[in-house]
Amino acid sequence: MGMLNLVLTNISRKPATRLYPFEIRAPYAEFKGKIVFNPENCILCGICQKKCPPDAIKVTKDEKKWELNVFRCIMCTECVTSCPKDCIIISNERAKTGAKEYIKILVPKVDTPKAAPPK
Amino acid sequence: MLENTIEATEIKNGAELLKTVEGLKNDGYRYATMICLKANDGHDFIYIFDKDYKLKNLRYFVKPGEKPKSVSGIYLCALLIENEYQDLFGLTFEGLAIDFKGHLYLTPNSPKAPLA
Amino acid sequence: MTTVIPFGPQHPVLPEPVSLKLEIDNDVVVGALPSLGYVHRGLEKFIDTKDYNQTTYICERICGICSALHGITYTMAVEKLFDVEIPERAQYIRVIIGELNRVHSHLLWLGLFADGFGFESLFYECWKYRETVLDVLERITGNRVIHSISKVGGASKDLTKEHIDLILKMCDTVEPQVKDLEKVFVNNYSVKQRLVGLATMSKQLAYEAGTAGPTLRGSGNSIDLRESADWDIYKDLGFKPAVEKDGDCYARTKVRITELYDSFKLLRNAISKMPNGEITTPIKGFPTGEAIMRTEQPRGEVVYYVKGKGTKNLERLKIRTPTFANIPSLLLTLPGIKLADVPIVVLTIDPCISCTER
Repeated sequence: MGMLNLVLTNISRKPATRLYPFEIRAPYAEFKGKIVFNPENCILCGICQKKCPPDAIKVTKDEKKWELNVFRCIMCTECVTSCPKDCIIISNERAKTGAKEYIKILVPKVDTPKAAPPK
Repeated sequence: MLENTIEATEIKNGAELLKTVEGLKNDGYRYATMICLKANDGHDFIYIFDKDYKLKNLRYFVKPGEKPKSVSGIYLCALLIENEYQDLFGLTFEGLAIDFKGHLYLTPNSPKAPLA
Repeated sequence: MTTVIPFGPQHPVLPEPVSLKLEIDNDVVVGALPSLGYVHRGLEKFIDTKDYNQTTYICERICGICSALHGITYTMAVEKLFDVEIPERAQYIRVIIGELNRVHSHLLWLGLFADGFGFESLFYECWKYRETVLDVLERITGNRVIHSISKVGGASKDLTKEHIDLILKMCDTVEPQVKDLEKVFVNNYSVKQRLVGLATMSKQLAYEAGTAGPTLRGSGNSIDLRESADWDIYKDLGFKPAVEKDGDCYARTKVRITELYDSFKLLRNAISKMPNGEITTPIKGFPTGEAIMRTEQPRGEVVYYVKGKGTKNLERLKIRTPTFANIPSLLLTLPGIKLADVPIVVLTIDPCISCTER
């Protein structure tokens, strides 16, 4: 009898799965989708590079470049929590497949003249 | 100097090791695992046994070039970990129940003794 | 006259590459020899290049199913080196994520096991219910399987009121569903015919073979690391290990189903007792000394040994995973079993080969 119930409910119910490419569930707010870098406040300190476990981030001071290897990134958010200027944020947007391997962003940091040595 | 050390009974030679392990088995200890460390050109073994959630550790120093005795004759389950250390540290155990001859994980053309 | 046939590394019922050389007389197994090494990644060597905080992420990637408990055990071992007491709220968060992990791991195993004896619709049901648990984990930690909840010195994410409601709601929906599953696994005639009396291990044999987890408890040994003093928070939660006496495949299945109910109970208790407050303690310096930490994973007891030398990376990390302890028991249980039953017996130890080889 329980069997019959199960069969009837399974026939009348809509499927438990989604018809993926046509019906997409909105990502949860906490979902770690992709790393977004906002270069405006970056001071090229390189802490994110040092903290990154898979060595995905590369910061070049001379060229003022911030580089992320998306294929190496493991979404641990160490860089997000360690950034002193809150330049790196994690967005819940799903990363697209077939993305480029590297994200290279130039940092528009103005070189401040070094403080004059104390007299 | 190390601050936190684990309590372990020092074992002097292979015969004493087998005798102690035999005694532990009769006392109803369960073989947990064995740890191999590099120390003073040789290797330090730490055997871990468990009974009623209490650990009993044995520490045994293997001199360079010495062939350590296998305890897989007493606890059969020791054979996997001993074969692992044959692979990773390039040791040779005497009296292994099943000897993979250094090819448990590694193939003939993989690096030799990667952890040593 | 015996024949040796290979079983695996590619086999329809095994999700992971374990290879067994089976010595067969007609269709009865007379000897078995495991051969490993298909997924050996050398993670114990890899820690040389990473500092002790980054090693947490390596440990979590040892296994995709019990990843949270790998990370938690590693961080607890390192905290032993630093001699720090982490805030109580962080400990409760670890317990909650660890138990959620156990629920999804056991549901996954029940599904794979049903697939192993050819009960496809039961497999789909189990995995459908598991999806609810994974959704909750994704809502809390941001990832489905690699949670990264634990870090040295506490927890990396706090649970909000909303998360707690989600967990309680999940418990209320999944528990009746597990009751439905239990009916099939425990009472179904065909399932019983297939499992009862298969690959029986006596209490003494299971203990001496050094097995761990449900394999050990299915044989009547009441050993569960959650009861021990290593992780004493479970004492306040009223935990009792699930034990079955028979020692066959059926008993091991029943242990895992009972553990699912235990996990729901522990989750509810942990949530009701969770205090407010900080979730991290600051840690200064580098680890020195050596420590051993053991916890109970879904598959059994995991042993972590860490040794630090006062530098930023650890000198040695040794992980004894539960499947590593359970594989020798296959050598003892497989002889005398029919070839058609071998996949089921291999599945009852819940083999995780990526764990085993690291």
